[in-house]
Amino acid sequence: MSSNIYQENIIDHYTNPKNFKVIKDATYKGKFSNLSCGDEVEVYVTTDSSNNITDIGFQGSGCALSIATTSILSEELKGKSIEYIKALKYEDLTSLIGITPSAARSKCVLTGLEALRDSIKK
Amino acid sequence: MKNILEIKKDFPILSSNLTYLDNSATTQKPSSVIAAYKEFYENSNANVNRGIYKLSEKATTLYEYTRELVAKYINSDISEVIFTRNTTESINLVMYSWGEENIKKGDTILLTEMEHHSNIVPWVELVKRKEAKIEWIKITPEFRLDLDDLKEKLKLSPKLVCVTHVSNVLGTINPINEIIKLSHEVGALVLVDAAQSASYKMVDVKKDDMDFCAFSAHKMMGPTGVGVLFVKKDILSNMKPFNYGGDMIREVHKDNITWNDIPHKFEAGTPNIADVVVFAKSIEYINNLYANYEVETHENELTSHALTILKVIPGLKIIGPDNIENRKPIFSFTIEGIHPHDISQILDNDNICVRSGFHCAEVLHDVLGIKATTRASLYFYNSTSDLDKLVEGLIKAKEIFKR
Repeated sequence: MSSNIYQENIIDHYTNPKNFKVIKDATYKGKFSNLSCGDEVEVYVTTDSSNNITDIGFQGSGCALSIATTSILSEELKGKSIEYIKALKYEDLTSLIGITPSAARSKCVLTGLEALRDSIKK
Repeated sequence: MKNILEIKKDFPILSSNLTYLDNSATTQKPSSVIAAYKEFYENSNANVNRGIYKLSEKATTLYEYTRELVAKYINSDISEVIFTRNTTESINLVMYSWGEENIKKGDTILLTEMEHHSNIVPWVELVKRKEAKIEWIKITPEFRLDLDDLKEKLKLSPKLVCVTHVSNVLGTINPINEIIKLSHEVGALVLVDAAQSASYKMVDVKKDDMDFCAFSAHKMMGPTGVGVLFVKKDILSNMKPFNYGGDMIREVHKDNITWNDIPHKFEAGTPNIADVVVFAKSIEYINNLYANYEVETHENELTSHALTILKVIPGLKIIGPDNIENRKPIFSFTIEGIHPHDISQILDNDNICVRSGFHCAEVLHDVLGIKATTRASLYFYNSTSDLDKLVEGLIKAKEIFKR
């Protein structure tokens, strides 16, 4: 895996994030703020009767890593069950985005997942 | 006058390919400071203020020599200089020893919107306990303290005004003399956060009539773990101790304890002897710089170069005064479309050290409506070529994010 975090896919997902939208009647809503850097992400998850994810959206502002990871994750999650979110770990995210950032940036990678965890704990 | 660009060789850490621009957080140390540790532990190490033996007297003399140097450096009396751990602890000392006794229900404390968290949080906690209140002095669109707002808020007859001498985000130098004069007119005491200004030999407690002044050795090319608190003698003499224990007492009996003289009354327990002793070397280093180099010319050159060259970057906005008047070479900025963390990470690829985030001044960022900033803060050993490297790095960041 690359340690250069500013690869094309990261920049692409940062400048044109996928699923960057509000879902008004979402089944789950959650948010996460990283107070040390001002990053803030809100997520919206819609599920069907068997708790599988049918749509996902997110809003917010943050660094390239937090926005790009949330965008990539939102693509990955469609069709998966809510249980899948519960099982996600940091290492799953880094392999998903294909880079290993420095320890100081791990919080950025986790921003979207933390918002998702917040959405389903309610 | 000698060429100030030569001093970089005094700093071993800067001999590598490093562009260090995080001096508001901490400064690098010259060889004389680093060597002083070895010298102290090999030749002078003993506890202070107790042994009759020569070695202890030597350690005590060295420890007190630093106090003498600090007193001269800020133009105070020796008995008014207290050693603490850092600026934050110095301010906490004032809060506990002076604030607890003197701030009463309904009282007002004035803070400025540009304070560092260390000069906000202790006071917010105190007014909660005391049912007192805080009023905030605004800043102008030019990133200066709004003196009209200060005058307005002084009508509330505050007990204390807490103000930073130099903003660690904006670089703004506050007109401390005028602020103190105005505050004293309504009977308020003034606490000056000199964490940034002490590095520039700007503190004169007598000329400016400061009541309290706090700063840290590590931002003056000295060691971490040493802070200074100055308190005007007649105020200090009436303050309760901060910590209780050894050294701060004169006599201890089962039924009667008396306190030591100032400033020792406020230095309980074995102090940070080695770091205080080493701190002397950093003050001597700064004194030597001001005596033998055109320090201010160099500083102005850095500031005007920075203000010119940073503007080359499209979308870059400097969060601080746009002219060299009354400002220090501390430059916080935002670049449209690039998050501060990404900027500093990209700069780090070229070994350029800058800070990103709130710089412990979240209230200021709230007021300005900015999420976070990147900050380049310079010191005497920096040169205009360090600024050129910064700008090259920022151009790379723009390239990466242009897609």
